[in-house]
Amino acid sequence: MQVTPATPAPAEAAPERDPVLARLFERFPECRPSTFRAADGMPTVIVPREQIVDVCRFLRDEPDLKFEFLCELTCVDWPERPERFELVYILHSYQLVKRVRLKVYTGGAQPTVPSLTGIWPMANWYEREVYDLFGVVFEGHPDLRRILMPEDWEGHPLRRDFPLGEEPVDYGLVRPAYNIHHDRGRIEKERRLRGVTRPVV
Amino acid sequence: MSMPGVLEYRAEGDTMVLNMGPQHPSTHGVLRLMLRLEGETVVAAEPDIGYLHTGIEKTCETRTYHQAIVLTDRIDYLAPISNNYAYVSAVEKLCGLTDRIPRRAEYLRVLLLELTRIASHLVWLGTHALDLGASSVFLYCFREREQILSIFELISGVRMMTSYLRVGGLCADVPEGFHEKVAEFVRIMPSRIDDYEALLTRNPIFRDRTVGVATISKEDAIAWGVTGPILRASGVKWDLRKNMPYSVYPEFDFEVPVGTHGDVYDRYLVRVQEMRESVKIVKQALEGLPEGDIRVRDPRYCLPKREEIHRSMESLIHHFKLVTEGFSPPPGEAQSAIESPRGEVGCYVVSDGTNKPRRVRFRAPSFANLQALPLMIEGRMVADVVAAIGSIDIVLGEIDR
Repeated sequence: MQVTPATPAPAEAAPERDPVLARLFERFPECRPSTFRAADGMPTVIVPREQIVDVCRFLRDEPDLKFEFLCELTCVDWPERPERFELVYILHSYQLVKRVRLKVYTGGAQPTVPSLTGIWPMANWYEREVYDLFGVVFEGHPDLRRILMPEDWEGHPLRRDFPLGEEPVDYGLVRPAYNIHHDRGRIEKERRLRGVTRPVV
Repeated sequence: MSMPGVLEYRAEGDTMVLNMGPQHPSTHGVLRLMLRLEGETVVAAEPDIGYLHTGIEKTCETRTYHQAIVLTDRIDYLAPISNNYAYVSAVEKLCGLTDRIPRRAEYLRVLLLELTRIASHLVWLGTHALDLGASSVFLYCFREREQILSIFELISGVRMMTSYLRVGGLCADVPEGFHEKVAEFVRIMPSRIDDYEALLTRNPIFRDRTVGVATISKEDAIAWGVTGPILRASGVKWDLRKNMPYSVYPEFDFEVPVGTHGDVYDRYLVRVQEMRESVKIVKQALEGLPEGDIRVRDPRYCLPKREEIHRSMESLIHHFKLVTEGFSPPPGEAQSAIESPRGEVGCYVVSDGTNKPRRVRFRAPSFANLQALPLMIEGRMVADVVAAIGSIDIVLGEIDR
C-alpha cells in the first residue's frame, strides 16, 4: 500500500494575529492561549476561574464581537492533573461567523465554577448535565440537581475513575458460576474425579 | 409526594399538576412533562429527561476510535448517518485527514446525509400530522421512508443503524443497483412532497392547530441555543451547510428556507421545503458522483481495501493492527459541527495520544431545543403542547445519550 504524506493539521491561530483574541487579551490580561493542539483550528483561551462570567459577558455584549450563542458547555476529566476538571465552552458569533473555545480549570474535593445561567438561560441544563456526570458545582445556578441520572444515584459517571459497571469476569482461581466455558478444563477434571462420564457440552 | 423539580404534585389555588409521560404517544419517546394547569391553560411546564440515558459518551471512552462509530448511530436513531459523520469528521481533524478524503467518499457521504435528512423529516411529518389528527399522511410518509431505508439496506445491510462511515471515508463502495434505486427515489419524491402539502398546507384543521402556536422569537431562540429548523422558522437564516460549510457542500446548489413567525406552522413549512432542497442535493450528488477511492490510503488510520488484504502481506498486517489495537491520533482536541435534521450536532473529541478517546462529547440539538419548550407553551392550552412537542422534533435518544 502506498503511503501518502500526511498533511499538517490546520495551524493554530496565532494569538497575537487573531483579532478576537487580541481584544480579549487586551481587556483580560490574565487570560492566556491554550497550548494543547487544537486540531480544528479553533482559537482556544484558558480563562481564570473567577473571570469566566466577565469574559463571557464581554464576548457576548461587545458590538463588534457578539458571541451570543453558547454552542457547547462540557467538561473533560484529567485525574492526573492537580486541577482535574477542564470546563470547555464554545462560543459562536453569528455576526463574525466565528467560534472561540474557552477553558476553565477546577479541582479539589469540591470543584466549583461560576455559573453562566445569568448570561445564557440555556446554560441551565448544560451545567446540570456537567454537575450530574462530573460532580462540578456551578456557583449561582438556580436549580442545580441531577438531570440524566436518577436522583438517588451515587457518584458521577463520567469521571475517569468511575467504573464502567460491566460484570467483572474473573479468569483466576474462582470458577465463575455464570460461564463455565471460562474454566472448561478444570470443570472436566472435577467431573472425571466425581465419576461423571458425559462430556461438558 | 413531592417531586424533586420545581413543580410539585400539589394543588395551588385553582391550579393542578398534570403528568404527561413518560409513556405518552405524543411525546415521541420517553419524555416526561409536568404541567401546572389552570383550567386548560398551562401556567408552568417542566420537562423531565434522562429515562433513556445509556451512557454512550462513557462507553465511547472505553472503545477504540473505530469501535465507537457504532455507538454514535444510537444517539439520534432517526438520523444515524449525521451522527456518524459528526464523529468521524472530528476524528479526521485529529488525525489530519480532513483534506485528504477522496471526493467519491465525500459525495457519497453528502448524498447519504441528505437521504437521512429526508428520512428523518418524513418520520417527523408523519408523526406530527398524526398527533394533530391527520392519519393518512403518516402512512404516506412511512412509505417513502421505507424506500430510503431500503437504499440504506442495499449499501450497508442494515436499515437503520448503518455505521457505514469510517475514519477516512466509507466502509465499502456502493453496490450495483444503488444508482438506479436513488435515481428512482429522486424522480418520484418531489411529487410525493406535493401530495403531503396537498393534504396539509391549506388544510383548515391543520392550520387552526398550528398557525400562531408555540411561537419563539428570534432573540429567545438565540439566547436559548435553539438551532436547526426551529431557529430558521424564527427568521434566522443560519445553516451550517451554507454558513460554515463542511465536506463538499459548497459544490451543491440549494436554498436555505427561512420562516418569519417562529410558530409551529412555519416550522412545518421550513422542514417540508428542506426536504425539497435535500432531494435537489441528492440529485446533484448522484449525477456528479466522481469515480475513485472510497477511503484514504493511510495505513496509520484507515483500513486497507478488502482486495488488498488478500493480495498484500503489509495490508494484512495493517488491517490486523488497526482492528486489534486501533490507531492513536496525536494528542489534541477537535470539534466538528454539522447541520443534522434537528439542528447543530457538535462532536467534540479529545485525544490523549492513546488508542481510545479521552472524551467524546455530543452536543445534541434536541437537548437545547427541548429546554426552550416551556417558553413556547406557557400560557397556552394543553392541546397546543402536543403540537409544540411535535414541532420541535425531539429524539430522546440524543437528549439522554
